[in-house]
Amino acid sequence: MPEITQLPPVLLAFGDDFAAAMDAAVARGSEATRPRRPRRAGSRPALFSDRRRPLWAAGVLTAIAALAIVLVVGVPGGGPTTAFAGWRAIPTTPTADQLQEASTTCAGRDPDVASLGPVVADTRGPFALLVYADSSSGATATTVCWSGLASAEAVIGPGKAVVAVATVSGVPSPAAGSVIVDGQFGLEVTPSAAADFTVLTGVEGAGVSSVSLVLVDGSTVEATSSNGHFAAWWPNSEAAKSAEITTTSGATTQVPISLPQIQYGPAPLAATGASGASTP
Amino acid sequence: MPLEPADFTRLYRSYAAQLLRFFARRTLQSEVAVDLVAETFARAFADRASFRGGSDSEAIAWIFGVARHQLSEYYRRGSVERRALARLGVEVGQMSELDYERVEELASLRSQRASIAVALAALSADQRRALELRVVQERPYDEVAIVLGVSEQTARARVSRALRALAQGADQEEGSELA
Repeated sequence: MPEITQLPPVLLAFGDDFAAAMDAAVARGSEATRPRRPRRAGSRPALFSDRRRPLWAAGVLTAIAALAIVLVVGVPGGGPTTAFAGWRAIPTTPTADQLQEASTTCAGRDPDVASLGPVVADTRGPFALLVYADSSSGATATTVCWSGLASAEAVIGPGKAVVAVATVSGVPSPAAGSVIVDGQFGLEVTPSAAADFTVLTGVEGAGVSSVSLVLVDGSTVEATSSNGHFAAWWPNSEAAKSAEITTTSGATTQVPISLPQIQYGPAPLAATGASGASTP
Repeated sequence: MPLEPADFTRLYRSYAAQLLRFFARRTLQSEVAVDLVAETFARAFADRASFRGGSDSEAIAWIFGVARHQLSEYYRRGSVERRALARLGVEVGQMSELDYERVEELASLRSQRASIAVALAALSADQRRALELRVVQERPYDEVAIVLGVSEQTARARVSRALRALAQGADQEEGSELA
């Protein structure tokens, strides 16, 4: 039998984290019936703390009332000229730096977001989309924020970010094995529509393990699921027409998505500087 | 006998290296193998209520069943699912040069090159090219599809079939080690 010391250091470290996370999960399980409130301002979300510590310590939110999304587009210096180069249909693993940047760049731009803890971190290459939820409000708020996006800079100026907010209300709890799409919307920030993208968010019923979206053009986008929420976005204006739901038992079902036509710009933009100062 | 966190910790210490070798020889990608080891244990912990055995040997056989399912999913999706890791709240750190060397050493990938070369030669030209683009050049599937002049779905299928063929070779070489 191989010795533990034969493992690469990355898996030795993971073993320690795994042990701690299991203990924490068991401890959380003992108080699972106690409703939890999302993190408030001033308490650093564990998601963005030391990457070797448990990420989703906040637990599952029991009532869905408010939802906010922050999309951070971080294009490395000298990087691709195409607005969404590097985007992936399958979520990628976020780095700690990527999540930290997403938090510091955008979470403070909207007062409704600043006080919440993220429930979904959907990363696709250099892009990070964060979903925030709050059980204390009766509305669902969706916030989208860009920074460092070349095509957006052409509209609002270099070094600026774009924030858009939309609100819906009354998201019911989905049945076991099913999902509810609570938002699908698109934005455009340039006359040439070079930066069009579409965001879809929803909530999952018990037993749902993954959700994949089929767009009108036939392409598929795999959503990121966590804490009973799921989210995905793609860099074009194609709507999602159906969702493939996979449950923990392995069963897969295809369900249509019927939503009002996606509304595109002019987006309700509110631009802010990278440091948070007011701009154009 | 329900498995407790201490049981998983003990099983991880005893069998993670064996599991890593299992994945490395079948994916030929160190990062993928490391991620699959982590996700497998996280998934096993999440599904521990379904374990009906009573001994470590039964437990590790069950975990290898989870591992095979993860591997199959990886072939199908072309990426490692990290859902169980995310739900548990842990992630795998960045790999260093030492990590890559340790995986290659543990999985005996260097000594496997001859048998891998034979297995590669048995692949169709299309599959071999797809595998080269995806595994050797580490290009994303959309780029693989463009280079091959096929849809992304077809590109994924070619890589998946090629990896399965190589995995069958690894299975035969390892014999009953993991049975």
